[in-house]
Amino acid sequence: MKEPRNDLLKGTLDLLVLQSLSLGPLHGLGVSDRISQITKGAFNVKPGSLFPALYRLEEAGWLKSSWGESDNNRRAKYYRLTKTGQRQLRVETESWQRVSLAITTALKAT
Amino acid sequence: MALLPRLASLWRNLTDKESADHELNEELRAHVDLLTERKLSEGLNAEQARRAALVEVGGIEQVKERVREVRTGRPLEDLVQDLHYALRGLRKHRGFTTIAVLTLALGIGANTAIFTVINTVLLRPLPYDQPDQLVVLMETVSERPVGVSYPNFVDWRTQTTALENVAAVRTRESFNLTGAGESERLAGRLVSANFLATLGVKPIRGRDFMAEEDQPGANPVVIISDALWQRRFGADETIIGKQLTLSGQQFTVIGITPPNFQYAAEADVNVPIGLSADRFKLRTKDPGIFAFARLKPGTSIASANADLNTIAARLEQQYPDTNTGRRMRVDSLRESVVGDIRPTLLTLLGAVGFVLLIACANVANLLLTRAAGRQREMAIRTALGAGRMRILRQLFTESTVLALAGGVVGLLLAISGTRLIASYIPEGIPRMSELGIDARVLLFTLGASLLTGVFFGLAPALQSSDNNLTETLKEGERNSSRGHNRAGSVLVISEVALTLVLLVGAGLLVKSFWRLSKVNPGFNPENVLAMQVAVSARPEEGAKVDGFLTELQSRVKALPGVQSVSVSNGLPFEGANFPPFVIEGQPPPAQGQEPNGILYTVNADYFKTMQIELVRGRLFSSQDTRESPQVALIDEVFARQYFPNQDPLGRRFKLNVPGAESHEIVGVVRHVEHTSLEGETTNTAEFYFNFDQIPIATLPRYVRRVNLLARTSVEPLSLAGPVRNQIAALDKDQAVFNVRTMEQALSRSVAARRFSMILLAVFAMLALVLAAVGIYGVISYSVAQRTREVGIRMALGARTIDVIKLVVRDGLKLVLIGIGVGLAGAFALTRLMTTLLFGVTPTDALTYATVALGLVVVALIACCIPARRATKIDPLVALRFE
Repeated sequence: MKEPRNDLLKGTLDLLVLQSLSLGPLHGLGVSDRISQITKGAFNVKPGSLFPALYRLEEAGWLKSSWGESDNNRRAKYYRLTKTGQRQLRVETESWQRVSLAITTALKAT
Repeated sequence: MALLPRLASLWRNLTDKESADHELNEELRAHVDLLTERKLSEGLNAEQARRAALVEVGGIEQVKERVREVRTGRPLEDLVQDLHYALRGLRKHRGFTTIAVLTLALGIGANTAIFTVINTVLLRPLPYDQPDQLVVLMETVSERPVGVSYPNFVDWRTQTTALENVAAVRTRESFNLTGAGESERLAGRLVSANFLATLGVKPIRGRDFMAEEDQPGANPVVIISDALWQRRFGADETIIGKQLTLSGQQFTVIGITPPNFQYAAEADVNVPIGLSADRFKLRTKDPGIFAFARLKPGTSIASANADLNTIAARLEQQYPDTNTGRRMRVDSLRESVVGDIRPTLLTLLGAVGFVLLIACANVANLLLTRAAGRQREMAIRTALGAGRMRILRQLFTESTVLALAGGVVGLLLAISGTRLIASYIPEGIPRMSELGIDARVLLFTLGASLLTGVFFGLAPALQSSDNNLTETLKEGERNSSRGHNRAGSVLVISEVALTLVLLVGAGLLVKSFWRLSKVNPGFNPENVLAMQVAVSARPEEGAKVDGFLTELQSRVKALPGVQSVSVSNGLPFEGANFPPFVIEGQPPPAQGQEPNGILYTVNADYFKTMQIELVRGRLFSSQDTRESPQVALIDEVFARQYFPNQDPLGRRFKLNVPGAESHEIVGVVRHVEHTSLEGETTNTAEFYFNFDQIPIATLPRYVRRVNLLARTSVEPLSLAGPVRNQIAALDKDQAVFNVRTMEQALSRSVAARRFSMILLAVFAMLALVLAAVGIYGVISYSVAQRTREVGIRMALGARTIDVIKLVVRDGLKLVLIGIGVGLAGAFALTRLMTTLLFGVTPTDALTYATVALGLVVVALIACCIPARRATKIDPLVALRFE
């Protein structure tokens, strides 16, 4: 049984994950650190949401993973954006900007 | 979303689940390690750091489960799991599974078998090229089809604008094949040159007919069947161009039809009809010719109808003597082939549909009983987090697996059932040689199985998903019976209602058949041996034929066991001519409206042999000879219709053909039924000419197919051999065929009816047995549920009879409601089968009452067995029951 999900939030998380990987490969913890860094602490992604998102994006073909060594010589699984992932990031960024502009305008209108 | 990576991960998730899981494990461990390290660097000690890391992750197992959920292929994984579980459950409950699968197999099998027949007869296109363009042409007089006259056919062929390739065929012709080897009677057709071309059939060897071969005086040619080629000529490749002697005439073989080719009655030889155009030159005559044609592309049946009726009107003006009142009807060939059988087949399909519903109800009840025992299991699964949908899906997986297993076994049953049907199928049901299971049948079976699965899976699924969790866990098994009883009641009522409808339908058919068997055909069919002799003789050999027939009759009469012998041209239930006639001394009828009657040409002993009663006057006698005045007998219908309130004796009439001789009526005999017992010919006039008065010169024409009849004092067929021997001894070139008793001829005429009656009766009995088992199951279950109550009642002094009453009353209440519903259903549905009934109305009260009563008795027995068991309950044991 799946929990009810908020599609907007899910989309947001995907976008943040893709964005966080746009500068280079990261492991799971790195992704979550980067997200909280680029959102200035607004988003703190827990593993319960992070890993399903990573797996989903990988199965969609937007990420690719491989095992590697971390900074302090630990084995970790690294994720990087694929070509289609980069394209997807552009598409989602554009659509997000459109939506957020529309919403902002709508909220200011009254 | 990109398809390829999806498929790749689906493949990996399904095939390599272990390593996918392992990788996830590793990753999460690495994640926890990284976190721990970070906590350590923040100054916590090792244990604190690790605990803090785990808290932050929030439960490894939960994370894993949530990742699994988003993985591609999760539904498939669930399905595989459900299937495993379902199969394990079914294997564990072998008895339950066997009964359920067998019940379903019976239902699905019966449906598949009947659908196979329907598919072959009604759904598959006719086995010709572009069959939808093929139409039949019928001439009608006051809306009644009267067959086709050859000259009219020739006119349509030249004048039509809506049709191309108008073809004619006269089936059931017979030829004597003589020459090399034994003489043999062959079934044949007279066909127009374009017969095969119109159907879109090409000879596999040789060539088709040419138009100039289809004319009087043309060089005689024949196209033989593949079967004859194989059987008689050993597939001799040099057969084309060889000569065959058919009924004394030389024919050149020009072609062979394909092995699977068929059109109406089987035939081994096809001969151009134009060769014998002289035989059919009268426009009035009805010589049993059928005409069919191909619609020009873009032409509709309606416009073809209009076109031909324009031609008919033109012919009416041109030949007012013969064509007045003649109209045309154009119908699709397919409709004319299968139209008559459709109501029978659809009735049978309805019947097997009902059987399947009853089977569903039974299996649903089995599942309900089983579900009651699983209430706790389901409750526990729910408590452990299985969602409602998840449980429903699992229950449906189970019922689908059951239904598919039933479908597979049912298909096997249907294959042998179809074979059984095919071997018992009477002639007269079209297209049976094409019977077979094809993709459409398989699809039907699959569809029926899946639908069945949903159907019987519905009740238990709804019930088990809709119970209160805590209640169930608290109260255990006790309260589980309430919902089951309600569902069980509905099942019993529907089963009884469905069975009643089926039984009423079968009962009506049985009664129709019984009525039919009581019809007096006007002659006594018992102990009459009949056979046809094809006497081949040249036109000048009349005297020789006469001698042969006289000698043959006296020899057969001398055989022990033979009481009387006769010959005839035309015989009830076999065929006869239907010529128009003119009565002398009466004002001539409107042109084209001359009366018709069935003509039997018989000799004096015919009436003794057939035991047809004389009403007035005298029969033929030995005094009537070729030299004495021509005499005739008429039947009661003839007398009533054409001599109302007059004495027909001494009056004269003649056939309405040029040069026909006038006959004096010397007697009136009983009417005989000619084509069926169902009254088709009850009001058709019949008359008899004297075989012994046929002029010697025309005798050879009369005996191409002559009936030899013998009334016997022993089993008629035991004399078939001796009679054949006498014929062979007299002239070995004369072919004998169609040997049967008159009883067989009669029974053949009702064979299709008997067949559908037996099938429907079998299905109704199947339904009855299934329903009885179903009632028994439901009542047994409710008795088991009430063990405690019955125990208390008995402890308080209830007698055996009270307990039986208690149980039976509950069961009977349901049965009676079911019968009420069923009676209403039967009342509404049986009128759809009116065309299948004879001498009984669809609402025949006696049938309804008998069937309802019978069903109550069976239901009572089904209730009594569990009731008896209830009386055996030991109060002490019952009270300790829980």
